[in-house]
Amino acid sequence: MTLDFATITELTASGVPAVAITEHLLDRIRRLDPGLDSFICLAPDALEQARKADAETRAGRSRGLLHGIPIGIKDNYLTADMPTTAGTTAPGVDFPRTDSAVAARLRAAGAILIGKTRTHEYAWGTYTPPVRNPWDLSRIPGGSSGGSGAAVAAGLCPAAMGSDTGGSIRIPASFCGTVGLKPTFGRISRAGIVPHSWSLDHAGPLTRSVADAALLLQVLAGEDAADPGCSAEPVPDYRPAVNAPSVSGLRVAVIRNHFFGHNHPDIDAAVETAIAWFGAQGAVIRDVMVPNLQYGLGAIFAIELASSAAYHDVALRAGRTSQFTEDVRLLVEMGRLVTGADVIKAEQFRQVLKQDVARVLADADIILGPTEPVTAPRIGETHVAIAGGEESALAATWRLTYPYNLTGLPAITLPCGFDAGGLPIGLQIAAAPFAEPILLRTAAAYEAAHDWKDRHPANA
Amino acid sequence: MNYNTFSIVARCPSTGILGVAVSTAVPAVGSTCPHISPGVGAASTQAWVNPYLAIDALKRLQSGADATTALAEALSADDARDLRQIGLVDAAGRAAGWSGAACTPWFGHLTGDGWAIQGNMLTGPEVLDAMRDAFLGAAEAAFPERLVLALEAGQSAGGDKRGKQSAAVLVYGVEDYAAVDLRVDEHPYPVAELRRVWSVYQAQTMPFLQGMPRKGQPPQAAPDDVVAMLLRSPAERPGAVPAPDLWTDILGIDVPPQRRAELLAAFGAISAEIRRLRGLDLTDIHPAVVFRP
Repeated sequence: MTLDFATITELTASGVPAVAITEHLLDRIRRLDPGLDSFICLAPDALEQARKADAETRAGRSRGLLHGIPIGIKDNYLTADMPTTAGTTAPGVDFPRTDSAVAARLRAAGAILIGKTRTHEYAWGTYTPPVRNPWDLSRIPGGSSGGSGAAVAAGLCPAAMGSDTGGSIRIPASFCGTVGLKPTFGRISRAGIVPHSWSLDHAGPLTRSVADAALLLQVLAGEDAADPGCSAEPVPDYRPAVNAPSVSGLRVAVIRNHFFGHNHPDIDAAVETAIAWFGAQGAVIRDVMVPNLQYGLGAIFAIELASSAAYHDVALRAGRTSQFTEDVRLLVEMGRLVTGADVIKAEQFRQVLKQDVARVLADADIILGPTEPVTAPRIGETHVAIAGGEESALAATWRLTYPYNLTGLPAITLPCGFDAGGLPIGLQIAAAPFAEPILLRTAAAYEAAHDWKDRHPANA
Repeated sequence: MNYNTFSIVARCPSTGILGVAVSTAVPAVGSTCPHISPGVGAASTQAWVNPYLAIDALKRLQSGADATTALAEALSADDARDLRQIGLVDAAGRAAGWSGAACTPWFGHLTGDGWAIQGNMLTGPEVLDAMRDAFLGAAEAAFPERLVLALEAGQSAGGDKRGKQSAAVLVYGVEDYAAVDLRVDEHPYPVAELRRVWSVYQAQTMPFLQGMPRKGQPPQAAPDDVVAMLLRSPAERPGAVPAPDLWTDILGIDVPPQRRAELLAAFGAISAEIRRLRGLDLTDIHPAVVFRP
């Protein structure tokens, strides 16, 4: 087994000592990351943590499911041993040196937090300067968890944490060809993640396999009083779902408006092939329409902009937003132009959309579709060409992901092919609230029948 | 310049005060349309505006002509009279109006004892009717107030069919300086803004005017209480109408004008999406926000 692209499951089974794994990854980071810029800082004591893990292993002890496994963590999660910047260089920012709930749970399960992956400033936007895409260094990795996407795809760590307000886990996962899991709203505590938009923020992992996503969810899911949005829903065992992948008899809904009709032809081709595969495996495919999705963009903009302006209110009033990156500054300041009535109306609309998708899921186990209408755009590209027209890169890149932030449904992306230029394409699967077992079982079945995850980028 | 405008020209029957109130969807209407010669007459010249038409008509009034004759003579000297619109009232309260056949529809004018009301490019005749009813219905009000009421009624009835941009009220008593000369030169709601300015003017400037030098009278010092009032900041004076600034006070963002323009430009497309959301009737939907004490 090569350690380069090994999954957590493979690393755990291999018996390779944590020190060897950690040294190997630190060496890869030293060699490859100058070209990718996926990490903003590395844990100074990563090898020391690995030595401790190995000593515990030799003594017959395991801390948990991630014992001795190096994991990357997005730079908007607070960590006690590494500084947090949330991607900002604006003065007057000083985040506490304490572990976020996720960092604490990862450590408790034995993980070595190897470094902080780059985020676009305050987790805004769908790119992550200066991070580059390992499949093509002239392209963006997506965002805002772009550092996590690039690092996992390039074999710098087997998994990394992301956060997702409008698609920020699934966008980089799709552009970088990894698995990205945004669980149900409230499934994983966000305590200690720098807030972006309280009613839309989700925590979740980017991994190289569906089984690893299940493993991390197992470690991270559960109630936390420190996050008022966190759910008390009991946490099931997610591992049987991925150990017994199957789609026979599965009821699949495909939402034909909004998610189709405005995608790059290579994406449509890959996703239709995937849908046909599900049909061939005995799943029942049904096309549906959710017309109210046409109101979704206004709703998420109202909530996200206003929430961000509220979070940054002190900085805004002190004139410090002028030190933000221009695009993020504009988004934060525009939040002041959204009226309170429109924000409340947007929250009312979420209930309507929630009921619409609940009706779809009353007759379906999963909703299947593309994660992105395009593959990774070039760095600096403000507009992308789709269906003979031009669309703003921001508008296009979160169009297919934000519906699941508005509805809070669990959604996973996994590779389902490559475009003509060799860039990865993502398949997005969503399910009913807290139906992560169905989501993972379905994704694992598709993954096992294809070899997409065994292809690795050139710059890795 | 084509001043597609609605206006009232009038004389106060009890005091002889002359006044004009006007609004349009062009900037700075107050600098071009209203003309008054104190003790002689008042005019509003508009449509494809010829200021000399008003100046000429007022000169003819000064020479002893009545309103109808003065207007006819002035128009006969203007080859483009089909493009003009004018209302004229003389010092005896005789009124005359003219709307050239080539004015932009809807156009027209009304005249009565001591008043002329006219407009073009209006939503319809109801604008002029509303102005007349408001002016005549407020006979007990102060004369400038009656003019502002007429303008408000015209705006409420539809006004300029392109929208609105500026408004003005000009009033002369017996002095050679104006008693009221207020202009809103560029504003999204010019008539409403004129009302606000007029109310502040009444409370803060008119008491001062009472003490200003008058023709044939020795100058006198302004009363102490008026001087004391004017030493205070505008917000501390009587009649101060709170006018919170849309950006700094209501939206809560204090940025320079250039930045405001950038924010609005960037917000344009987002605003269009939010407006689409406003079209939904969600009255019976409880929002996805629950407060647990």
